[in-house]
Amino acid sequence: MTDVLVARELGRYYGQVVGLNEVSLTIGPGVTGLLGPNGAGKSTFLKLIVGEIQPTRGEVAVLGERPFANQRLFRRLGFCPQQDAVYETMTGFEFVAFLLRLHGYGRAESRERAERALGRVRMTESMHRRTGGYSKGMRQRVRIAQAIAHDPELIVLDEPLNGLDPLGRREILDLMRELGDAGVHVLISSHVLHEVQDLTEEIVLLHRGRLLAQGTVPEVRRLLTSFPRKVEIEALDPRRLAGALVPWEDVRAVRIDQDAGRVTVETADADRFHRRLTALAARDGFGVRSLESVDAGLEAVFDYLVE
Amino acid sequence: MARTNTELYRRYEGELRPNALRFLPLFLAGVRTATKKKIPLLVLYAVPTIATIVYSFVVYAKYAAEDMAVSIGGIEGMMSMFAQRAMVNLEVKGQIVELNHVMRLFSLLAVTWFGSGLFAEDRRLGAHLLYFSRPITRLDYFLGKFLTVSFFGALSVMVPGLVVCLIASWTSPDWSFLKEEGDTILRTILYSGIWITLTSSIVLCVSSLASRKTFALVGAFGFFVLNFGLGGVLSLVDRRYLAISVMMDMRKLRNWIFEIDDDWRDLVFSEAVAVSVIGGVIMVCLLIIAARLRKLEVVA
Repeated sequence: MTDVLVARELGRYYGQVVGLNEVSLTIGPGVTGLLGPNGAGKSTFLKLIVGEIQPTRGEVAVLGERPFANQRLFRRLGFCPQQDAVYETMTGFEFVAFLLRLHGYGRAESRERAERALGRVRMTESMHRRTGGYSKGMRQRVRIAQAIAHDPELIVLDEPLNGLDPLGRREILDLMRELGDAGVHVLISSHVLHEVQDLTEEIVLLHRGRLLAQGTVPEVRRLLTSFPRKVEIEALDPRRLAGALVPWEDVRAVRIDQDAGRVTVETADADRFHRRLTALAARDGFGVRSLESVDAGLEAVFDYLVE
Repeated sequence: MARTNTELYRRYEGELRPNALRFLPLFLAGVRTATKKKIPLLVLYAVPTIATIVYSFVVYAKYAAEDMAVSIGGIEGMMSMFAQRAMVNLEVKGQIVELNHVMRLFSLLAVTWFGSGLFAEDRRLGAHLLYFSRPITRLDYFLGKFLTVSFFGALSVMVPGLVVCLIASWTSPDWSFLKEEGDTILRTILYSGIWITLTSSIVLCVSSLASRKTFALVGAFGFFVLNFGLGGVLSLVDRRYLAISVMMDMRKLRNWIFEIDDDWRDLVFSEAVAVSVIGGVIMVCLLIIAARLRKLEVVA
């Protein structure tokens, strides 16, 4: 299957300010999370993808085409910007239908599609009210509805979960998951890492305008060899277990919490450690009850990367 | 493993419209959005509406009085019919010119009110991000906004003039107004068209530079006041400097377009100068708008 997005040494400068700097990456089909703290260059990257701005240097191809001012490509893209972007005097329905008209859909088709898209984001009941009376979350839903209403092949969402309550977030994430399952490519940016981790393992990490990492979370974590992996083990006899682990060559540090019955181990080779621990527990006991990698998650990976 | 779900994801099978008139939905949406607030409409269009009705009635009354004079005047009255009719037609034309001239001020209010936010608010809200990720060009975007603001300007200045022309044509005996002064209709369109283009360009230009509608409102009015004031002050040095004021230029153009003698002798500059100043202002405004729209996503 062809790549959804290919960027080569992509850069965008705003005068002296670097928005994005020499980003080279390839994004494949499916759902991909674009992560990074505020000011990382996520929005600049997304604007380059949807053809809002031209790169200062390098190039980007989206669905095999250059995006800037590419009207043919725009039909295949759906974009949900971070900004409010909604006219307060229009109803949600009018707003989505109007944007569909800009795509060239006829009146009846626009109305039908607007209704369906708003239904998908659970806005059917409120869609004929003016957006001025909407909550922040409802406006966000309308923005998402306009991005999916023309059934694009690639949906680009800039911080789409902002302003949504937990239930709303869950619904939108479910919708993105459904779209991904249906064969739509989704690129979703967020600075809230765990939300994206729930949605997809494929991530692109940006920081200060540069590409920090790309791949699945476990892949990226494995590459961070300078940071030992932390493993928490709950055991009936933590002190004896710690004593058995200390001589292992890949173990860098062992901390015992006797009261909690827990041993925290830092290891340079997590896979080997897990194999050996399984064998040790089977042979000598120690009453091992649970085993957990505490810094293999996205949050920890990100912290290590930006350190 | 990807799978397809046609109920959720439905690819469009029909024919999308060609790109030619992509600005029309923007224009229609702009008008629809602006007309949702009724109070500004009421305030801005009450006077033009009343003026149109009054002028229409006056024009109707003039022709009715002329008819009566002819019918009670017998042969003598019939002989002077053509002379009277020509005089009335001229009077009616004068009234249409006056209506056009007065209504341009209300048109300025309407254009400024409805046009100030068009670019400024789009940028503030980020709505342009939605437009430019769709198959419309920046020219479509500009045309959509320009038509929107021009529409509201035309409602104040062009439509009243044309309505009165229409009334004059219908009520004049034997369509005499249309036959003798029919070109007044075209002159009305030309004069009000220039005014609408000028004011729309200025207001949209200020809107493209401002970050909020309020600032654009102040800026647009400020431009007209300063421009008028500057022309007035500099004319104390040399009367020709009055041409700096676009209001004075429009007055000069009015005299030229409608072929009327203005007893106000201060307009010592030529029509060519007036056209140059107005054309120059429009051009500069359009260039600024083009530059700002080109960088809209950057300056947002």
